[in-house]
Amino acid sequence: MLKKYAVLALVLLLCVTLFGGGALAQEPITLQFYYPVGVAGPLAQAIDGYVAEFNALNEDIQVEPIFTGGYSENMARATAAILSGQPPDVAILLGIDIYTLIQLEGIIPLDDYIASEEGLDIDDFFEAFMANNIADDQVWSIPWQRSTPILYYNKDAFAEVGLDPDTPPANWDELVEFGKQLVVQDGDNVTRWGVEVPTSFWIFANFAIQAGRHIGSLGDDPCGVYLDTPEAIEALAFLRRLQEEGVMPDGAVAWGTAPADFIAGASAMIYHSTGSLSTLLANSPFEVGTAFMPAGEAGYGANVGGGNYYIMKDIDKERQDAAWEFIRWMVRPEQIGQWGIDSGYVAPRAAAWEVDPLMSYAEDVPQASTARFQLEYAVKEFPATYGGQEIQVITTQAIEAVNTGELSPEDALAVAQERANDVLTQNGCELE
Amino acid sequence: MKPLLNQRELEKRKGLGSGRKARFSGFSLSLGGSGAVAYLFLLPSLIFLTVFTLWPIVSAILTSFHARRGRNQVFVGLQNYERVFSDPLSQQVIKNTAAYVTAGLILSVIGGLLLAILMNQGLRNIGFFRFPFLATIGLPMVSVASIWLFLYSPRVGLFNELLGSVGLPRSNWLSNPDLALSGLFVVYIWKQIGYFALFYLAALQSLPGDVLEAATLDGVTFWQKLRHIIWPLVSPTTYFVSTIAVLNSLQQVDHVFVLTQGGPNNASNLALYYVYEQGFKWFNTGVAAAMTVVLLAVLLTMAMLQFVFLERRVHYN
Amino acid sequence: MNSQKRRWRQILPILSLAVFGLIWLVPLFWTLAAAFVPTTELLNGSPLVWLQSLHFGAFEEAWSAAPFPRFYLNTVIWVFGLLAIQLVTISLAGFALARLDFRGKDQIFFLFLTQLMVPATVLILPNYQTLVSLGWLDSYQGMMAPYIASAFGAFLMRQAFKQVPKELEEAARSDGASWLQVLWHVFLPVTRAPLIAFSIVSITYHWNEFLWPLLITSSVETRPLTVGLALLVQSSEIGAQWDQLSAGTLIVAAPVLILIALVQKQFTNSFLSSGIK
Repeated sequence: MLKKYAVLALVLLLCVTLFGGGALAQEPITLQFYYPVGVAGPLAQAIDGYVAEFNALNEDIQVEPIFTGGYSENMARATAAILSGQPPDVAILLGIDIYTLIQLEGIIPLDDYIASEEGLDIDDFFEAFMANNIADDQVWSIPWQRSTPILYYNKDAFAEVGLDPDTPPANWDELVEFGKQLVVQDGDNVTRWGVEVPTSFWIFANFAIQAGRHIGSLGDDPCGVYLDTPEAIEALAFLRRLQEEGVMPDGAVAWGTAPADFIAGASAMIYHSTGSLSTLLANSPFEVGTAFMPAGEAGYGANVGGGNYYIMKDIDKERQDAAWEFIRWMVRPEQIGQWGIDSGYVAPRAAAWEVDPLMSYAEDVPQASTARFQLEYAVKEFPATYGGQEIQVITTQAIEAVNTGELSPEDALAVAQERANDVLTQNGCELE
Repeated sequence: MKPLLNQRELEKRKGLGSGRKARFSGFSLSLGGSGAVAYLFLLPSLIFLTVFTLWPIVSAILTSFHARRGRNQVFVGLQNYERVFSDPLSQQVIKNTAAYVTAGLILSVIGGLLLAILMNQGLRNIGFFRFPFLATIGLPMVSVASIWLFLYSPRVGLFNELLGSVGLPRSNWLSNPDLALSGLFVVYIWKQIGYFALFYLAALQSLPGDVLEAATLDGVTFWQKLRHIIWPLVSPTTYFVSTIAVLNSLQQVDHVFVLTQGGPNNASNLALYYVYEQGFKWFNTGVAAAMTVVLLAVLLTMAMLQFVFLERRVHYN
Repeated sequence: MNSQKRRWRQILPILSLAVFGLIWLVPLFWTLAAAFVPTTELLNGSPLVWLQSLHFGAFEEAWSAAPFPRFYLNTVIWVFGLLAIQLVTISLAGFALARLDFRGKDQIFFLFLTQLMVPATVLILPNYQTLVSLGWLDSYQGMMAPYIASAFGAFLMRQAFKQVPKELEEAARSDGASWLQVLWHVFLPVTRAPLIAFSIVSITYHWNEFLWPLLITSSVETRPLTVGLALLVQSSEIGAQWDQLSAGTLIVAAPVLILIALVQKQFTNSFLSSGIK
C-alpha cells in the first residue's frame, strides 16, 4: 500500500516534468497478437502473411502480429503483460501453460464462443491435441501449431552403410544398433553421429512414456510431476547409454543444433519436432525419412506439444469477440492445412486433411503424415502444471546433468523431483 | 587525455567581461539567490535519481519480503532470503558469480596492464595496432556473443575446425559444464580487455618518459622493470581498474542470454541472469528481489570501503 | 652485437602486439567470411574457394527476416533521444554542483554517488515494476527513464565547469545575465570536449544495451537492434543458419565499428574520461 502511494506520488512529479500521456484513439479494433516461432525461417513470414490476408479482408478488425522469440520468452512476455494489466488480446502460447494462465486470471474459457452461432466444431480436433486445452471441463484454447516429436533419418546414410532405407529403427535396441552402424569416424573424431536427441524436457518425456510411465499427469491435475519413477530413470539411463555406446555425442545437444547437424550430415538420425519438417525437407541434400519414435518396453509413445490460441481476460468484450473471429479464421481447414504445409506442424483437425491444399500435399509428401499417425500413441504434454515454465527448466537441467556425466540418472531425477515439488508447493499444490 | 576546456574559446571569452575583481566570499546569498536556481537546475536529475536509483533500492527490499501468489503479493518474511542462501541452485549461482568476478578482476588488471605496455610504444601508426582492442569495446555484447556462438558451435565452429584439422579431439564447448562458464568468460575478456588497457595506457603515458627509458638501458629484465618500477607507479590506476572490473563483470548478462542461458545445468548461471530468470521468466519476483538486494549489499559495501580508502588519499570535494 | 639486441628489443613488442591484434581480429574476420560465404564452402573450402563463392544473399535474407530498418530507427530514436535529454540534465546538474551554493549539497552529492555505485542493470526488477506503475512499458521514455539522470555525466560536467575561471562568470552576471544564460553562453561553449566525451560513451553504451530494452519493449515499433538480433539468434525451432546470423550480427555492429575506426582517438579519450569520478 505504502509502496503504491509512494509510486503514485512520484508519478505525479514525473508527469509534471517531461512526458505527457500517449493515448491513441483508433477506429477499427487493433488486436495485439503475440506469437513465438523461429524468425530466421519462413515461419514468422508465413504467420505475418496470414495476418496480412486477414487484415485485408476485415476493415473493422486489424491484427498486429508481434513476434516474441522462443516459447519461453513468449510466455514470459505474456505473463509480464498480464501482470502489468496491459495484456495482448490474443496469443499463441504453449498448451502446457494453461494452468499458469488460469492461475494468473489471464485467459477466458472459450466454450461460449465454440457453442455460439459463429462457433467451431471442436470435436473435429484430434483428441490428443485437445488434452492440454481443457481444464475444469472447459475449453481454454484452440490448437494451432501442434506437434509431436518424430524420428528423422537420413535415407542416403542408411543405404550407404547397408541398412534398408525404408526400415527405420523400431525400438530402442535397434536405435542403438543402427546408430552404431551409422557412425563415421575420422581418426579420433566422429564426423557423423548415429543419432542426436536434443537435451529437452519435451523429448525426454517421450522416452519415459515409451518406458511405461509419463512424467506428467494424464488427467486434469495441475500438480502432477513424476520425475523420480523407475520408468523415468530407465528412460534417462537409456539416453546416457546412447552416449556411452558412442552413438550420440557427449554433453548436451542444443535444440537448434540437432536439425543443423542433420542437414549438414553430421548426424544420421535426430529426434525433433514435426514443426521442423518443412525446413529439413527443403534444406537436406539427401532423402529424408520420418518415422515414429522407436518403441520402448511399453511400446510406442509420444507426448504432444506446441502452441494454441488463447484469448486474454482483461480486455473489452468487443476485443475478445474480434479475437475469436480472428482465431476462427486462422483455424479454417484450408488455412490451418496451409500452415501445416508451410511449417510441418500437424494440422490439428481432421477436416484440414480432407480438403486441399493439405490433402494433395499429404499424398505427395508422405512424411507429413507420420506425426499424425503417431497421435494414436500420444498423450497429454508435460509439464502442464502450475509453475510449468520453471519445471520445464528443472527437468531439462536433470537431463543435462546426466548427459554431461555430472550425475547418475537416479540422483539427477531425485534432485529434479525435489525442486519441482518446491515449485508446486510454492504455487499452492498440496503434495503428499 | 584532452584538456577538459576549449582553450581557444576561453581566450576569446576572457575579453568579453570587464573583469570586475570585487568579489564577495562565495556564499549563496551573495550570488543572488543561487540556492533556488541550484534546486531548479538539479530538479530533473533529482527526480529521476529518486525514482530510478533510490526508490528501486527501497522497493527491492520491500519486494524481497513478499512472494507472488497468482496476481497477488503476500508477505513471507525472510523466506526468499532463505532460498537465496540455502538453495543449491542459488548457491551455485553465487559461486559462479564470485568465480567470474574474481577471474575478471585478476585478468583485467594483469591482462590490461600487459596489453597497455605493448600498446605504449612511440610508433606513429600505433593506432592501427590498437584498433582490434578498441573495436571490441564498442561492439554490442549481443553481437559479440552471436559471433562467439558461431565460433563455439560444436560441429561447424572455428575452434573445433582448428582442433580437428590438427587431429585433436573436438569439444562441445558450451554444453560442457566444466567449460561453459570459462567460455562466457573468454568472450567477456575478449570484448573488455581493451577497455582496461586504455586506463593503464593513460597511466603509462603520464609517467615521466625517462623513468621507463632509463630502466631499459640499464639492462634490467622486463620482469624486474614491471615488478619494481611500473607496478608501483600505476597502482592508483590498478585500484581504479579493480573497481571498474568488479562493477563491470557483475553486470554481465547479455552473453549468458545468447550463449548458454545459464546452462548446462546452471554451470554458467550468473547472479544477474538468475534475477532475470526468477523475476522475468518465472515471476518469482520475491526471489529475484532478494538476489537483487544481495547484489546491492555487495555493491554498497564496496562503495563504502572505497570511500574509506579514498578519503585517506584524496579529498573528493 | 648490442645494437642487434637492442633492435630486437624494439621489434619484439611491436611484433607481439601485431600478432596479438591479429588473433584478436580472428572472430571478426570469421564472421565477415561467414556472412559472405555459404557455410558449407566456409567449412570445406580454402580461402580461394571462398572468394569464388562470395554472395550477398545472407544480408538480404537477414534484412528481410526481421524488420531491421525499423529496429535501426528505434535504436537511433532511443539512443539519441536519451542523449539529448541527458545533455540537458547533466549540464544543469553539473553546473549547480560546480558553481552554485545551496543547502543539502552534500546529501545531493551523495545521491549522485549512489548511482555511480549501483548501476541501473542491477535494478532491472524494481525499475521494471516502477514502469508498470507508470504505464511506461513498451515506450521510449520507459527505456530512457533510468538513464535520464546520469551521475557520471553530472560529475564529468562538474569537473569541467570547475575549471572555468571565475571572472568569466562574474562578468556575465554583472551584465545582468541569468544563470541559465551564463551556462549557455559562457560555460557550455568552452566545455565541448567533455560534452563530446560523454556523448560518445552514452551512445556506445546504449546502442549496445540489451537486457533492459528486451524487458521493456514488446513491439516492432520500440524494439532496438540488439533485441532484434537476439530474437534472430534465438530462432531455435529451425536450427542455426550461420550465414544469416553472421550477416545480422554485422548489420548491427557495422555502424559502431565504422564509428570507432573513424574517430578512434576521440573514442579512446572519451572512454578514458569515463574513468573520471
